[in-house]
Amino acid sequence: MNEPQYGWWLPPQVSAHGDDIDLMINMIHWFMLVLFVGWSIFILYCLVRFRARDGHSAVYQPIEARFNRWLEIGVAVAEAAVLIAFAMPVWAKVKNQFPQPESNPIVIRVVAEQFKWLFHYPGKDGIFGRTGAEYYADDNPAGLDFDDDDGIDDITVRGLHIPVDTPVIARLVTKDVIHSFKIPVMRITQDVVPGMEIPIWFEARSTGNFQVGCAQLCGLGHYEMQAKLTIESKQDFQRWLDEEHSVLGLD
Amino acid sequence: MEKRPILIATCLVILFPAISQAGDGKPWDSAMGTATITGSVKFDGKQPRSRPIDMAGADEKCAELHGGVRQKPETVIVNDNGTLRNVFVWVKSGVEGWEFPLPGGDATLEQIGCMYTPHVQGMRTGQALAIKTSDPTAHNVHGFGKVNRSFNRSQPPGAGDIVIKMRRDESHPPMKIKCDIHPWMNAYVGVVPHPYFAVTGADGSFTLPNLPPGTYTVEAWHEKYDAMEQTVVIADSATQAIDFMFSKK
Repeated sequence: MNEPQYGWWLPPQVSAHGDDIDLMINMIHWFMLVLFVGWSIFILYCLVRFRARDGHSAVYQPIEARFNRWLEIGVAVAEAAVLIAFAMPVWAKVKNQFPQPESNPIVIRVVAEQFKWLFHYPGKDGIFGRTGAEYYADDNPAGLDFDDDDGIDDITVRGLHIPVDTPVIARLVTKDVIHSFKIPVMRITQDVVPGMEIPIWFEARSTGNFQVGCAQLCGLGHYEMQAKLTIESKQDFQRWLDEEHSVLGLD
Repeated sequence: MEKRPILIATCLVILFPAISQAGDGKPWDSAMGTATITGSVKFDGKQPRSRPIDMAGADEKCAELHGGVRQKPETVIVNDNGTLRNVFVWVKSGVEGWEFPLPGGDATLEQIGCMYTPHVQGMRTGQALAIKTSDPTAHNVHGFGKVNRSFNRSQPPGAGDIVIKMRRDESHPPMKIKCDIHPWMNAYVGVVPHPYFAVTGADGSFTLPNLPPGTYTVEAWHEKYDAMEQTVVIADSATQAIDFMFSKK
């Protein structure tokens, strides 16, 4: 959480799908730069060329020129190309092609509340305990039904641990207002909406300690809505799960 | 011009009850306080399940203050002798008509290791609550007043006390205070117009001393199991024992 992540350009990229997102972000920004410089030069040219001078008043009439029309059509085509050829395929891939069971994804339930994240793992039995809004309490922030035996070994923590090179499915819920689950290094941002459970998935390519944040202004303590993200090797992740299991004191 | 007398009369009608309410009781005579109500709060069942608090994932400074040892929520603590801790016991009715002197100093709520101490407490109406921090991390103290005014104040490390004057009775239920930065932190403060309140501790017992003889309604309130009450008739210089029994809902 303490390591520098933000320089002049994008933060480190550690997710499997992030290169596509970065390509799109970079392309859009270079494209915007070209447009910005081009339009700026044109405006400066117009300011000088059509200004009022001795014996001439300023020219206010629009210029009717074929070149302009083609230039505008070219910009629109380039924008459409970015949308259709790059943005939509990435969206389809990230949003629709969820990891299949044979790829052994890790499933985590993420509970947002003002102003912290809570991460709920199914525990050793791999089955989530029953949860519901009626169970939320000061001593039960995950909203687990403590009478359900499937939930006895569930792990509820305030920091997110995930193994590297493993698909992770996160089911996002919120207790109160709209939050937005954001992992900058994972190129993931997803609103968390009251009354809905929204699944997302991602896969980390390298290990390290990073940050989870909230990308939707959710109240006075929004700035404090952070959690530590630990991406570790599969062995270390298993060791962490075992430690968390032992904390529950069930053995 | 003709309306002025009506206006003044209206103001007087509105203000008179407010003025007359201030100090409506006779001063407390300590020689009257000879009786005692005592007892314990029992719990029918085992300690319910709860999960240890993972402070490290949210704020490593909090976890370091506990040497990395996970703390348990203080919501439901069943003592070894089968009693229930952190139950707010107070005299709900029967002591009206007296005006009790306020204790010197403020009631205090401390933030130590990202936990509130005490978790449940009582204080007097008109007294101030001084909220202190000795933690190396920022807290945000959020009081949810239903009768008294709510407050929501940030308290960075090393900051001075947040002093909140409790002007009105807020005993049923007590006021909830939580930290917006550390969601596991919560505390309850019962604001009572008299000195007859107690909170059960590690032995689950309570004592309400120095009561005048009379008939009282005593209420026991728990943050999860809500409230129950009993009527007690107590004679001069007597000690009356009563027990409450809470059970899992």
